[in-house]
Amino acid sequence: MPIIVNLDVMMAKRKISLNELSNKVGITPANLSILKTGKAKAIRFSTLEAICKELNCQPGDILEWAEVE
Amino acid sequence: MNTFKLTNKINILSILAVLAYALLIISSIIDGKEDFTLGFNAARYDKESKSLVGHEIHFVSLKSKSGVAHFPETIEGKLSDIKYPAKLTTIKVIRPTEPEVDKQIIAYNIAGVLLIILYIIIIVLLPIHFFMLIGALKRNEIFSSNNIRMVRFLGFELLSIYAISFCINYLEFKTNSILFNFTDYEIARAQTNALFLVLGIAILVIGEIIKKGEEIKTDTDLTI
Repeated sequence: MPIIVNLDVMMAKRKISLNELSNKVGITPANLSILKTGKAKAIRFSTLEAICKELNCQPGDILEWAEVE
Repeated sequence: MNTFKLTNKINILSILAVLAYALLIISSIIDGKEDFTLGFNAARYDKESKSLVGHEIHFVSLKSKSGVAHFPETIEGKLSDIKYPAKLTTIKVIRPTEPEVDKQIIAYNIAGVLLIILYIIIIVLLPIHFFMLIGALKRNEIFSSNNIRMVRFLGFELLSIYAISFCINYLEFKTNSILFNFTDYEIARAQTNALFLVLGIAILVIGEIIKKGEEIKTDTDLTI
């Protein structure tokens, strides 16, 4: 998929675990894991907003477009 | 509350389906009872002569040789002395087993038996697959790959019923054409009820709709 999710990178930078972030954002660890591993089909703006607020970052820090050859 | 209503509806529908299927089987048995009794008592295998002895029953569909307006038979009126024109469309013929004649139609007979076995298998599988689908709906599994598979099975089973009936009617037609000759009638092929064809296609369309629903559900489930 051309959209790459760099959530794990940001989580490492902010030194926050999956469970902790999922509790703060208000989604299940399973769903957050789906997002982190790039298996998600879509993300709601509300979820993106909550993640960016907790990780103190921009959406572009989490989402990246790369052309798939 | 909504789940309770849905479960109730599914329970009612499954009970109605059982009753309808039982009614179909019972009415088929009642309609075919005479034919079954005739057939059961008709032919049997004789070990000494190593051949079929007795009689065979043939179901023959007819049409007038001279066209639709031709009524070769007559029937007496009950309330008057007038004789009314009439014609036959289906008859049953009892034919004694004749080894030389039977050899000519053995291929059709074998094919007919195989088709009937297949027909019975499908008649048994149809309610099994249907109730597997009902069971999944009761567990609130609607848009699942298993349900799509069950619906597709049901569709193809219904189409198969039509195809097998068509083939059996054709085999009967070929057999009867070889065996019998009528003065005023010609042998016709019995019409196959196209209802199963239409139902089968409709069920397959519903299967595609459920498949689309599964895709939408997956997208929704994977929207975080």
